[in-house]
Amino acid sequence: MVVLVNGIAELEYHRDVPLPARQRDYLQRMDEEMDGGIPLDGEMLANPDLLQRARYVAMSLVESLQQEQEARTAATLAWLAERIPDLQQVRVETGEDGRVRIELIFDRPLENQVKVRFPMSGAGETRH
Amino acid sequence: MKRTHILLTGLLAMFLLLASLPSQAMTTFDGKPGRVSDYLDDGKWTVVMIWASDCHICNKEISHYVDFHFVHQDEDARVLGISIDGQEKRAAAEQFISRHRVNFPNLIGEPDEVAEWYQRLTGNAFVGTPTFLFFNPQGKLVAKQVGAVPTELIEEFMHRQARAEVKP
Repeated sequence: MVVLVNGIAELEYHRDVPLPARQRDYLQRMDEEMDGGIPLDGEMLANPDLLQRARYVAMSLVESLQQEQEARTAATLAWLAERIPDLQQVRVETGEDGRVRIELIFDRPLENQVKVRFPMSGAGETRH
Repeated sequence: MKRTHILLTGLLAMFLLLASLPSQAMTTFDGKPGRVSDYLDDGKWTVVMIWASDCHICNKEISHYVDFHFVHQDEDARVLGISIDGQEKRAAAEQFISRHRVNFPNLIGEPDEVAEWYQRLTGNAFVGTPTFLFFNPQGKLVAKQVGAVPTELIEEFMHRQARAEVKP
């Protein structure tokens, strides 16, 4: 699962790295806290569904990346990847007004960009 | 009572010893046991890059670290790669090295072992790739960075640290 901020891939989570027990406990605590409701888009959601929770956690991930809080980044990234196994990309776009837009992509992994070298016209030729 | 005390002291000593050891699961790509400590403390900075062959960011950014290593290796710094591909994806890791003409030394380890080693070293859970660790010329871990870091910032950091050490 890849996190992209303003089109640039910043970080990649590997689901094949097992979570340490302490981290698993922490994700459980996050679940329990969200069971009690979460603030989203200016309102309090008493019973948030999985997608609403994902958006809430993704917002927290963005903040932790901006503030370089490694432990919080690890926890929020792990929550998104482990609780939503189909999630492939978290795309974050920051607008000029400072508003943050988050897109969760489930159906397509990020493709590797491949450098393509085009032959230069005239290369190898001698011009007089 | 005294025996229990000795046993506890022995266990504590064993725990401390184990905690200070690097991951034994890491090997060179020749299959020999490899330790990060083998590459430290020789008067050069060591930038450790933890990567994976299927990591999009690593694939995109690796050329910058190849250039960095090329420019600095005979002077003040080197790059050491650690692949978390493990033995199962060893061939993919070898292809990554070959495809990107990676010129710096690399170790390979099982993902869980490398993550555990990282946590033991830094006190933080492993987040993802790429991750960077910065060891000063004396072999001391002085910084870490989760996610790609421009090589200009690495050079700036090294110079800043060197200037700080010169100051009385």
